[in-house]
Order: sequence, then C-alpha cells, then structure tokens
Amino acid sequence: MRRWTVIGLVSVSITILLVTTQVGRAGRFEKPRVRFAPVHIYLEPGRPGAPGLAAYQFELRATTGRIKIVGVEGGEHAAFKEAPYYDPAALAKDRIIIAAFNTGRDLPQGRTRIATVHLQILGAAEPEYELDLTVAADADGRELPAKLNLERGDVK
Amino acid sequence: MERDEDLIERINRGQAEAFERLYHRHRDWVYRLAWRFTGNPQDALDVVQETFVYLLKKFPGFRLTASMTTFLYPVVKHLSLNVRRKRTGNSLAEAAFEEIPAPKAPESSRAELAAAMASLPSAQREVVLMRFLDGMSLEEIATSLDIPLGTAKSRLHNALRKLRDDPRARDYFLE
Amino acid sequence: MTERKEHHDNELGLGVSPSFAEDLGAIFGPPGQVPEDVDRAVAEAARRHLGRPPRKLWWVRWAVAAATTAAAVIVWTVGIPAVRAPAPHATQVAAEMNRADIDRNGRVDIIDAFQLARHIESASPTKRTWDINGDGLVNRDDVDQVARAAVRLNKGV
Repeated sequence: MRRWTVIGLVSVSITILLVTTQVGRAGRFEKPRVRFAPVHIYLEPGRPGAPGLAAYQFELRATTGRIKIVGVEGGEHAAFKEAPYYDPAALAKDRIIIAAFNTGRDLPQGRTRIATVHLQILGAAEPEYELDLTVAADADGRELPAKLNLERGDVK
Repeated sequence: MERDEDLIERINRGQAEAFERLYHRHRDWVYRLAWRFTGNPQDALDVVQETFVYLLKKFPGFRLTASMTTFLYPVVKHLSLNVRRKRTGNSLAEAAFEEIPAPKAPESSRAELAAAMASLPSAQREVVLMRFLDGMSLEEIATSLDIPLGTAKSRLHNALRKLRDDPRARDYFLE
Repeated sequence: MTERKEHHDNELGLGVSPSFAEDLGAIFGPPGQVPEDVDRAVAEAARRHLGRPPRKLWWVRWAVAAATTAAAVIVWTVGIPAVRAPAPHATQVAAEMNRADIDRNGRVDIIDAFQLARHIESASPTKRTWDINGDGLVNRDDVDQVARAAVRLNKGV
C-alpha cells in the first residue's frame, strides 16, 4: 500500500512538472507582438491588350489571424493615386470593401497596383487573406475580366 | 485647431503647407521616441527626417484610419532599428529591440530617478515614458503596443507602485 | 490632456508630482531641439513632392462643375418636383440602395457611381431619381453617396 502511495505521489509530481514546463514554454513563445504591415493589391487584366482600367471594386477579409485596418492608400497609376472609397465601419472589423473609379482617359493598362491597405496584425499568428474582385470596368463601363493578387509589404 | 484628418485631406489635395503643419505637430514626439530607441542625437534626427519622408511618399492617396501616433510608432521603431543595426553592426532581432534604458547620463539631482527607472522592467518603463513624457492616453498606449487596455493600466500601476516604494523616486509621489 | 492625466492618476490611486514628468523629460528627452535644417529639408521635400496643379486647371474644373450643375437644375425644374416624404427609418437604407442602382442591374457597385459621374461630366440629361442625397441637385455629392453605398458593408438587404 505504502509502495503504491509513493508511486502515485511520484507520478503526480512528474505530471505537475511536465505540465508547468509546457505552460512555461508556451508562455515564453506566446508573447504578443505589435506588427504593422502593408498589403499591396494588384489587378491584372484577363487578357493581353485589354483596355485601360477605369473602375474597380474588391473585398478583402482576413480568414485567419486578427487584423485591424489603420490606413488605406491609393494605387501606383495617377488615375488611382487618390485614396479609394471604403466603409469606415469596416475599421472595427477584419473585412473591407474598397472601390475607386476615374473618368479620365489616362488609365492604367496591364498589371497595376490599385491600392495598399495598412494593417495592424494582432497576436503572433500570420493572417491569411481572401480577396474577391466584385467588378473591374473599362472607360465605357464595360466589365473587364481581371484577377487580383496580393503582396505583403515589409512588416514593421 | 485643425484635426490630423483635415490636414491629411488638404495634403491629398497637394497643399504642402498642410504637410508642414502636420510635421510640426508631431515632430518633437517623433524625435523623443527616436532618441529613446537610438540613444544617439544624430541618428535620432536622421530617423525624424526618414519618418516624415516615408509619410510624405504616401501622398496623394493616403487616408488615416487610426491616430497619427498609432501609425507612426512602428515606423519610428523600424527606422531606429535599422539605424542601430548599421551603427553597431549587430543583426538585432526586432522582438528584442527595446528603448535604451537611459540614453544619457543625467545630472546628479536626477541620477536617482534615472537609476530607479533603469531598474524597472523595460515593458513597464516604456509605458511610464509614453504616459508622462509623450503625453499619450492609456488607450493610445494600448493601441500602439497592441496590448489590452487593462494590461497597459496594470503595467503603469505596477511601475508607479515600484517607483513609489523605491527610496530613489519616492519624493515624486504626493501622498 | 491635463484633466485626462489627472483622472487616470486618480484612477490609479497614485498622485504623481508635476516634477516627475519634468525630470523624466530631462533624463529621457533628447538633447536640444530639432534643428532648423531638418525642418527646411522636410518642408522642401513636401513642396517638391506635393506641388499644386496650375491655377487655371482649378478654374476650369469649377467652371465645368457650375455648367453641369446649372444644366441639371434646368432639367430638374422642367418637371413638377414631387414632395418627398421621408422614408420610414426601417427601409431608408433599402430605398437609398434602390436609387443608387444607376444602371438598374439589381446591385449597387462602383460602376453605378462611375456611370453617374460620366453622365454629370458629359452634361447629358440626368434623372430626378439620381438626386441621391435629396438636395435638389444631381452633382458630385450624389456620385460620392453612390460610391459610399457601393462599399457599405451592411447594404440593408
């Protein structure tokens, strides 16, 4: 009986030691960090020689990880340099709809950066994003087949 | 006084004078922060210039959706890290990058406060400086450091409690 | 700011002497001020980077806006304007979304704003229903309202 009591006490001690070691190790590696990162959004027409881009609308959301949107910036071409439209209510969420248009004739052709979204990344997990192109159109308002892709900027 | 958002609106319309106003409004805060990270006045001035040139390049087409300090804090930290890396030749990991405990040797009348501050954990010291030196609210501190408001409050409370109990800093507390 | 600081200090239950911040500034504050040559360099960079469009373009833009607004007002006043009863609060968003669907394709997106902007800029006739904000004019303000409706997360449907 006494032997089993000793074995039981030793087992419990080892278990407690293992658990606290794991918690300690987890505590050391789960230190939250402040990270800010821009996410650059590029639009690419579906076919070569497509007309210039006059309007676009897309939705960006984080599917994993937690983000907070802290800034929205226009694109690289002069036609889309101005800050685009977005819903300020999106700032409290991890989903945003962004859109812009230009009625001029000097429009970007080919692959172009249309916007940059500045994000604060909360916690240690690297977020994953989903990007949906709602519409892209040419100067006559006709839909342009196109696709979006995303490039992560330098994390600060 | 014009809000930062209004100045940004004018900067987006090409008004350089609005950018100068924004610069003067936040310049000294950026300089203080850069100084705390670099510990070197020339490096800190380089960081001031680089920070505002970085911000300038965002225009036209930038919209601020948080406070300026929340936006600029990581920029200043990142640029300061780069400068310190170049100066020391160390590949300093960003996670380990923290403010220099006491950038310069204080005159003797403040030496004791400096020593008391240096004895605080860096996370507590940072919150004390953001609060009393930078004039940031607890909410702004929590957002900039990405910590819950409660954590910011408890870090500040614990830091002030330690300082109050420290004979080198006790005289700064009113009770 | 002072009131807020005192509130938080009281909230923390630890009154701090004003000399605390002052001495922290002496210890942790940088030596001296930012010199004028840094101020000048930043100001110069701002002037080079931002610049301003030639004044004459500003006047042209305003002239076009005034002309199109006048045309819209003339078209608007030809018909008998209906008295607009305020939409019930519960359907206000849905009603706005309906008006904002400029191309009548059943959805509100940036193309609706784009089409409305093109109509206005070409000074072609506009419809009364395109007065999205109800101010009696069809102009850039309505375009902005359509664009904001397009990017709204909650479209009320």
